[in-house]
Amino acid sequence: MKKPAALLFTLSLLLPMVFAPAFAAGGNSAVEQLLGHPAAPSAAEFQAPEPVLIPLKPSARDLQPGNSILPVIEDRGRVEAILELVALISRGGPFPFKEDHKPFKNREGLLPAQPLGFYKEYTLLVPKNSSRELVIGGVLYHLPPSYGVRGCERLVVGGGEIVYYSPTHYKDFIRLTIVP
Amino acid sequence: MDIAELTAGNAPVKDMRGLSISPAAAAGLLGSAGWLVLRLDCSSIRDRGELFSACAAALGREYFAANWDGFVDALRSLPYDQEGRPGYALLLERYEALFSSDPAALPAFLESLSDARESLAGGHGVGLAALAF
Repeated sequence: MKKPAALLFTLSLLLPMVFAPAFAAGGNSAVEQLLGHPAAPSAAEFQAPEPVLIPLKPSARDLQPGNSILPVIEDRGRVEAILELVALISRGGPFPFKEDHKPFKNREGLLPAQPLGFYKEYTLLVPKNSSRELVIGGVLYHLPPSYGVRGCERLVVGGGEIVYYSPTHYKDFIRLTIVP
Repeated sequence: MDIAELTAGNAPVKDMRGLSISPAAAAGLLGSAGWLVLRLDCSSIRDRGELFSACAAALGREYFAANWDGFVDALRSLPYDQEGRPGYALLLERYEALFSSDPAALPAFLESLSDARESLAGGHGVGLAALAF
């Protein structure tokens, strides 16, 4: 049987591997919730590997045609617009704007860091006279004044699979799950 | 100086200081060629928020952008709302005062201009010029 110190060292090596997909997807991982900070063995124990892009499992696929969205968006018109755009993206277009299906550079770092080209963005057109206040998952968002043909709302798709909704012109990003 | 000289080059911001053309003359040349000209007084643009507000005011809008991703998007979207323009120009007057409260904003501003120029040229075949006076 291994000594406790040896067991702890082994765990410190294994935990980052087990939870690496959670880190890659961003947000609070289980490790962060358990320990209060990301698992970070001291430099004396081993050299941290270079970050790599973790392939997503099929179960993590959010980009698929669906009938509803989580978290709940309390605006039926917007929900339908998002579902239509997601279906269009999953079909590969054609897209109405030249700026669609182009790389999103994530200049502000509001989404998890990924290589350039991982994120692509799409214009979300919503029904005219849609409310400028929107509740998503119980959180109230104040949308910027609407202007222009393309409006201020976007979808950003990461890795061809993860769907983010920005109702506030790149100020907030909400990860969406499309429910079939 | 003609329109081609004003808009030539790949620098994010073309330095016009020391050249024998005033902001008003440059605005006249660009405007007569159909360009949309936004004249911005940089002495009132101490940080990026004031830049975004100044752009909105120059366009007669309530809102232009809230961060650099939005700024690039707003610039590259101009052809949809200002159709038929051969280009768009930011005339940055008193340029030396730009971002006096937030000097770190300058590199992001320059990169954003380059990105927006590339998108406008590739997507719409129109120009974006930023001229410093």
